[in-house]
Amino acid sequence: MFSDNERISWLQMERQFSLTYLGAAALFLPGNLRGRDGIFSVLLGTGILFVWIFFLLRQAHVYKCPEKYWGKCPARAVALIYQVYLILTGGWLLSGITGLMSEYLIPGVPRWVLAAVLVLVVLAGSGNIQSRGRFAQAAWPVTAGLLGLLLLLAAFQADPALLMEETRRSSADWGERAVDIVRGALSYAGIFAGVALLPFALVQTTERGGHRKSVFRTVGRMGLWTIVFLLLELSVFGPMGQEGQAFPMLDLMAGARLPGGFLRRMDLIFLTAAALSLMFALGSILFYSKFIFQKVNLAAGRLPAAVLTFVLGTADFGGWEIQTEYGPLAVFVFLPLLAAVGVCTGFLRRRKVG
Amino acid sequence: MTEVYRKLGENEHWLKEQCADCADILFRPMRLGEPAISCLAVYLEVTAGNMMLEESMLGRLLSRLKELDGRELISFLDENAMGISDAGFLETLEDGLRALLAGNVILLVDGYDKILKIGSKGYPGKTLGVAQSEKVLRGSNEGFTEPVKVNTALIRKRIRSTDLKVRELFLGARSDTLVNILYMEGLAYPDLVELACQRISRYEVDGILDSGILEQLAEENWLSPFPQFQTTERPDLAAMELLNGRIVILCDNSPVALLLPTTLNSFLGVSEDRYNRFEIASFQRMLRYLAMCMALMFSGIYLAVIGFHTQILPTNLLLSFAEARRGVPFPSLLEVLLMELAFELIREASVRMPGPLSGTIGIVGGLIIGDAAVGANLVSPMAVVVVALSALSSFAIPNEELSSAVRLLKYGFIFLGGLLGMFGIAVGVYLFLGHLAGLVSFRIPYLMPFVGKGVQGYQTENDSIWRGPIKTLRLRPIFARRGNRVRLRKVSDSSGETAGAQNGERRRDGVFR
Repeated sequence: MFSDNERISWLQMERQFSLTYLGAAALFLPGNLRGRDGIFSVLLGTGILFVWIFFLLRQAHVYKCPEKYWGKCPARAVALIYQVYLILTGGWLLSGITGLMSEYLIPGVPRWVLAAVLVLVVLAGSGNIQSRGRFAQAAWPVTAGLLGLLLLLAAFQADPALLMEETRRSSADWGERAVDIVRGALSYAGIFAGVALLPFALVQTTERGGHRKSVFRTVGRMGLWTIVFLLLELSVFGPMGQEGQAFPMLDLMAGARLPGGFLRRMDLIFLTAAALSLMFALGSILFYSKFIFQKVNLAAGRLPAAVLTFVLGTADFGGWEIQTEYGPLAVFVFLPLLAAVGVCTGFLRRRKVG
Repeated sequence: MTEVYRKLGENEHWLKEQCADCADILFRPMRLGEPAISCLAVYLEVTAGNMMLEESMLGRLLSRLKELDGRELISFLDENAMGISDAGFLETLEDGLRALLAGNVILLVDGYDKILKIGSKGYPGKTLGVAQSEKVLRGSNEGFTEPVKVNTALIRKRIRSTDLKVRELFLGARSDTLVNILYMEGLAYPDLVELACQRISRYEVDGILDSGILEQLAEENWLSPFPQFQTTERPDLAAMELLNGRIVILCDNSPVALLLPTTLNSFLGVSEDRYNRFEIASFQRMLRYLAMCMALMFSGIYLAVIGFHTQILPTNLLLSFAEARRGVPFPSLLEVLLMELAFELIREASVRMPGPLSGTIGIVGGLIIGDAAVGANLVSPMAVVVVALSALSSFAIPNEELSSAVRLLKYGFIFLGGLLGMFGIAVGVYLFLGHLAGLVSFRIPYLMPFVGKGVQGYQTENDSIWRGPIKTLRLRPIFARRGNRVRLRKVSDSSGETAGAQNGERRRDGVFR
């Protein structure tokens, strides 16, 4: 019946991806994604992701049994690459969430305590693929609805004149702008490099065809959310106002008001809703770290990944902090590496296996 | 199994051996017919009507047998006894004993190798009453009673179709309790019926004294505080759910029926949702969902706001909060915990106290103690308001089992909100939703229909937080068998002309089966 197989519907997969990325898109966008150029970067980045997804969708069958196509050792090496990427992303996310929480929500509580609480909660809450799918399907409308409502309230602060100011400033130096846009697009794709895990998710979805558009729809939707965030920031703060703001969306929300002025600080509500999405993202990381190792028949568990994520998210290795190093690592190391894995898989996908 | 002996003495010996030291089981030898044949009636003291009185069915049968020719007695029984209501022939002594203990009279005749089971008064039980815990303003107020046969009949009264099937199971090694499993053939999944039978009989237990024992034994996820069976005291709700493709389990001596599979949404619906107009029903549903969220989180959010995020409140409100808390010696977390515990005590006391006193307890607890506590500066008036609202919300949840689970989890939110602020509330919501997403009741996800869209075989029910107009509720919920989901369709246009085939034909074409 409805919970017999270990598969989820396409809609559940779509909402898993959306919920995973919504919090990150709202709070952790790289600093070079600002203003009108940022919007172009997001559009370009979404285009890059579409192309990538197009090829990934054609390789989904390889990820059902990677060892058959890649061979035992190469499959394990590839799984290790994914694993390192996931743990680094988990550490970055954990560090980001605890930083936000200790600054905005519960100042005074040590970050490592928050990190420990988060890791334990996420370990307890990330069950099998079906329960994750149901979680996302139930939580997405509430989370997205709440964030959308808050954005609507924040939109009352917008000043269209600030958008025009951006236009005047942006008219000069096209070459420099193009380079910025490409850099921004790569940063955006770096944040969403997790789509490389898409084939692993696809093997867990129902085999009914004709729903591949839901994958494109997800990435498109995330692009749209990001553009709305950027447009709002631009129309409220102006092109100069965004510079140097660590979390511009929170500052934007701090200015939003309910009619009647019953609640004063919408940023806290926004952050609480986004925290749910970020926790789900962390849960996805731990889930897939186990799932990928299982696919290549390696001993797997979520605990080692959780411990490593905790260590990376809290420790300071002689000045090396995941929060500052993750961006370049994602763009210059993992984005090409994961793309290369995709290209190799593209060559192997027609291989005949017994 | 021991077959019934032809000699009455041997049967009597066997039965007496089994019933040794059972003073309430009476053996009444008699001689019936002319020439007389030895017979033996065995019954439990209070379960049989007066055998000598013509008013009782048993008395009338015995009087008739007495007048017969003794040589024709056996052939008369063979030919006519089955004509008596609630009578039957049993071929083994064990079956006879079981029938006796179920409250019937058993009649043994010398030279006859069958036992005649005759239903009489049966065990004493409460008469039909009103459903105390599921009151409605519109609709039947009839409630289940204790004998399982009566409860089954109350459902049969509402669904007069042979598609309503009743399976009988005897559970409990010593109690030998009769359990009826009811389902609509064609609507319920047959493998689900098998699964239900298998689940409730997978443990051998001393005694099944109430459906609650069955419920806990058959639960999949026994660590979860959430009920995985829906319970009801209302035959109309049980009948409606049978028509939705669900299975009803009735246990002897229990006025509470179990419904399965179940979902969170089904706990927040009441039978009158169907009887009221859709706008009213939808509004009431939304209120109940809101009540569940408030009962769960309101106290926790209050603590998070006044402990960590006072900046969220407008200045006036903040000042009145501060004013209200002036002089209270306890931290707000302890204050709310104390009030919540006091409320639980009042609730428990009022449930356990005899009827007229329970109202008094509510007044004493709620008004006098609350007022005195505020007056003595033990708690702030704001905490009383928050706890009272939270309590009121928990009462608005129609199902007591769900309400209890929510009240229990509320303490988790109180600690999380009190210690970690809104971050704690987010953590709580994540765990709560994660747990519900993982729960499954008889293969149906607990969060259906909110997680149904996109799942193969799922069709929109239009009956969750929003209850659509009755004319749009064309499909049965997810519980019903695939391919047999249509429950409503138009048969004639506004001029009264029948659309399509004759009514009788339509009933047989499988759509409404």
